[in-house]
Amino acid sequence: MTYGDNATALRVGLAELLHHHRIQQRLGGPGLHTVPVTTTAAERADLGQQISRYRHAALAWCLQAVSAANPRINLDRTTTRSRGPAEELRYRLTKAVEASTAGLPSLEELTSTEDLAIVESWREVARAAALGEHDFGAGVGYGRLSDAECRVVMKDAAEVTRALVVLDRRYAKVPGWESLKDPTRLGRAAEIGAMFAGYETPDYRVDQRGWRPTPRFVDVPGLPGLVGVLQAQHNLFIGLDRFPNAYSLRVVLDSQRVVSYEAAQNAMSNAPSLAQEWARRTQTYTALVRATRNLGGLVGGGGEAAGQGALAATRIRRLAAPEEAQADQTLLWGQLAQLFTAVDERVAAIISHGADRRLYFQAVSLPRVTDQSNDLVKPVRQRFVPITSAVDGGLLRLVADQLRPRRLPAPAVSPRTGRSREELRAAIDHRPGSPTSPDGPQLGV
Amino acid sequence: MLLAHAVALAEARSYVAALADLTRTFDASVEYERVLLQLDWMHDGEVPGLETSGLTTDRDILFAVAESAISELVTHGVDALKVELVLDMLEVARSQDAP
Repeated sequence: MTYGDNATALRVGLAELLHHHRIQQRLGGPGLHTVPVTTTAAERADLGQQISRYRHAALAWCLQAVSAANPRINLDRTTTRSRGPAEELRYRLTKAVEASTAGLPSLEELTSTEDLAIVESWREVARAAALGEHDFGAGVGYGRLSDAECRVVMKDAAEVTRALVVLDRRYAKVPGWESLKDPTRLGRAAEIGAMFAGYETPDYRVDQRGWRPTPRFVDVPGLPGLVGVLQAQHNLFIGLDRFPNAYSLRVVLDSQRVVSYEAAQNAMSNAPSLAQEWARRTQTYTALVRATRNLGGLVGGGGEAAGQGALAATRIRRLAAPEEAQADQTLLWGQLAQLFTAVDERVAAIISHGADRRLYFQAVSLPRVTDQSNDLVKPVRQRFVPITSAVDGGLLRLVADQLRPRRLPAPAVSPRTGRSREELRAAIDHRPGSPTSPDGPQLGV
Repeated sequence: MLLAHAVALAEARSYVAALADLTRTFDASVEYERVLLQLDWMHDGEVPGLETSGLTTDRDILFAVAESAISELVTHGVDALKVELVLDMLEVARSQDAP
């Protein structure tokens, strides 16, 4: 579950709730003679308190999101005039969370399905908020996000806050309901915050960030065919968590050259675009293999990564001929492409780190001055020196220009989560009977 | 590592690398690179740098010099079995270098 997944679940749940009016009746209360009363006042009070807890979870998510996007430490002595839009929203959210006495829902409440549809929608909102809290400590935080990504998080939090304020008014008459503190100011801060965050171009790549389970070593006997290659390649990626010494790095580079070449040959008929990309990768790794022949460095390990790389190369060479291979391997080729990207990124980071920290050395020919020889021409000696821009022999440039995966430009709208953002915005701004409302009365021309 | 050992190893590495650069097939290039890696592994990564510029482009000459330099490593205390295995890998690489 990424930030995009959790925030989408949150928005979808809130958009669903915003479509409901006459809340008492939806909780089984009186008011409609066509619908029987199914709950007592005490039961509705319990439901009101339970929904308040779910709302508290969503409110806490908003506060964490705004803090992640704009972490100014102390806002206690600031005033409305001295606070910016983001800080004002954060301040109002902090006050609202502090004033709420509902508390967070228990684990049982979050995981048990509710009978009433409206309560179930609230449960899903709270569940998404609870899951979304993991994202802020795993890549969705200030310092890790670009300014454009921070604006997306800020805008999401502001829109969710607006939705909570709108719902707060609708639920005011529910027994046991606890209203928000200063809902008008909170709503205004959220509205201004959403507008402020929407001024400049957003970067929806933040949707891909967030908590993910830690990948683990696949320690099972060799799997057959292309799956076995994926297994070894995955394990290689895990093995590269440890910094490899120069020799292990060279073995890994050599293995990747072979794997890319064989993969390109195999995918030529089924996936020509991937084959073309992998042919380019083969050239990159061939150049890297040549550039690292004189690479030295004894610090680090990497034996496991080197072994898995060699295993991947061996397995892919033993694959059946392309015409004999199973036709429907598109999914596996796609996964191999993802692993290639991940490995490229890791290898690029390793080489850059090794150069920056002077863990890798390059043998270069250096003229030297000596007082121990009377010859007119002094012999040129080779020395292993740290890799710097002056003596890197093109290695660092190769890594920066060809190996490091290119960051694609930010999409104008997020294809996956854009719809939920639009729907929540439409649900918040929806007013029954307004001219823009599809189900309201239309103005005559 | 004494100077004579370092010179023989540098020569072997340089000529094998030159062979890897001049191959006609991808497989042969991979095999020559493996010979290079094997030589480095035998010396625990403590190897002199190689230089391929200025060498001949005649593969037969390059192969003969590389083979000779690798064989010479035995006289510098490198395990004879390991050297024989490297020579065998060198032969395999050459056999793959057919268009």
